[in-house]
Amino acid sequence: MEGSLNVIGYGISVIGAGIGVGIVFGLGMQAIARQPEARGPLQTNIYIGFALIEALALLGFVLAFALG
Amino acid sequence: MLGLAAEENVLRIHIDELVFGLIAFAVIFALVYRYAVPRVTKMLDERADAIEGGIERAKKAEAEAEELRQQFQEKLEEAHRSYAAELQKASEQSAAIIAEAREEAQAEARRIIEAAHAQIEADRQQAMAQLRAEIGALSADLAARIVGETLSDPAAQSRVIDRFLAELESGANQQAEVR
Amino acid sequence: MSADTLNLAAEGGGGLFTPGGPGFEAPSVGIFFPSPWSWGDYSEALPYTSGITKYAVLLVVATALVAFFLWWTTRKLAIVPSRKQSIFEIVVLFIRDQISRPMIGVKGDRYLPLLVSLFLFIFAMNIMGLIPFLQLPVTSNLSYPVGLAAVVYITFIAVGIRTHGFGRYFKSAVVPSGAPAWILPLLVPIEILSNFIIRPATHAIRLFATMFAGHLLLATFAAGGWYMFNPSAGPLYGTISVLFSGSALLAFIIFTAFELVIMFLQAFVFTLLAALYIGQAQEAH
Repeated sequence: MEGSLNVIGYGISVIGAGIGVGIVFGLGMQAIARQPEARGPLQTNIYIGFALIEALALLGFVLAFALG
Repeated sequence: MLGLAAEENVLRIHIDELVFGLIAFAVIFALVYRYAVPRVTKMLDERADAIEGGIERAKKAEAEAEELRQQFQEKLEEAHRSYAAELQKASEQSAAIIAEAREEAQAEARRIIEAAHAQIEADRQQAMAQLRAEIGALSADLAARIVGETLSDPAAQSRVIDRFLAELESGANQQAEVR
Repeated sequence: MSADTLNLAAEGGGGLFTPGGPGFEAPSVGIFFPSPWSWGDYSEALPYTSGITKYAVLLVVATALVAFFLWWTTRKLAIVPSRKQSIFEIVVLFIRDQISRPMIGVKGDRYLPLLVSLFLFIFAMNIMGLIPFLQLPVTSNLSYPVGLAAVVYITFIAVGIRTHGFGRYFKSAVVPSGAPAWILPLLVPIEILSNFIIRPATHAIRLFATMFAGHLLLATFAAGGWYMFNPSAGPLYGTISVLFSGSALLAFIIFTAFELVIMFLQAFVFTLLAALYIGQAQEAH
């Protein structure tokens, strides 16, 4: 068995980001469903949150390769 | 890395590729900025204008049609009114004509009747005069024949005749009253 | 079908159920490092260069594709649009109504050319990964997303400075409004890090990473399917291997369609985030 622990580490780190992105979009959809007229600002905020959370997963991805 | 021998780091930034990418993006951006988007937005504006203008035109046409309809309605009503007036006038005229004709006919009839009356009267007068003369002569003749030559004196003769005629006339009047 | 053709087919295929055959070699990240053509190989002479590789050629193809698309769809414009014209109008209106207007507002129509060209360019570069024989998304090389992210980075900082002035823009971007003074020493470095360092980095890496991973996934499915295709391994094992190979092929096809969606989505998200950053820089907070 050969390989790098980085890959496993990345897999574990991505779980958090995956849950986060799911929560962001799920609650975002719920908010839009409750108040469809506030769709514009809600969408903006959804994508800000999505970008922030995705950044963590991407940092993990970068580190998995950079520290390889 | 992924358990494989990697030739280089995956997270590489090569200057030449970066520059190629920027040049390619600059080309596309120039095309979009100078050529595609302005023309398309202009076209979209024109289309919006055209659609708005079309709506405007349609409204105008509708207003015109409404106006025409109004005018037509007015004309129609006027025509109805004038037709009714004509009808009225015609019926009045015809009544007047009929009345006039009737009057004329009555006048004519009256005139004819009067003329006939006058004629009859004249005829009667004439016949009376003639009859009086003839009866005088006749009765004188008869009397002369009966009495002989005694009544040759004309004065006495006419006296006798007048008396005779008066009697005769009163007799005739009595007869007429009886009738 | 004779045994010869089966053998012939098995020759190119892998060695599943073949004792002593070749072991499975998963596609390495080496597929993202095409070696430069001999006529364009200056990578030895200059540091941090790669020479003229498949990426550069595919970049030219993608650029030509976008340029052709622009020329072809807007060649003859009419008030009543033709089908060709409608395609481009749909793209422009989609970006205007889904990205520019919600993120920047009506003032954002100024940045429509930038957003449209970003979207079209990224989508064309992504789609290179699905075109037969080319099959390498240009954005799976970090150099290209970094260039685009740098363009967006410079744009939104310039927009912020032009709208609010140098001092006010950086103050509003770095100091969160309404925070008590004692927490500022903690917040300001975080804001600097997140707004001016992590933001452009993730902007570029998000696009790169999804394209990289997606292409690697497709390559793995293709290589695995080919490895397992071994009908000459006897009646039972041969059938099993063909079934395995077929399921890998099916997965490959499904993931190819999935990749197409991802490619569109990543182009959309990149453009959306560019609009979001510009909009944030434009409005004072």
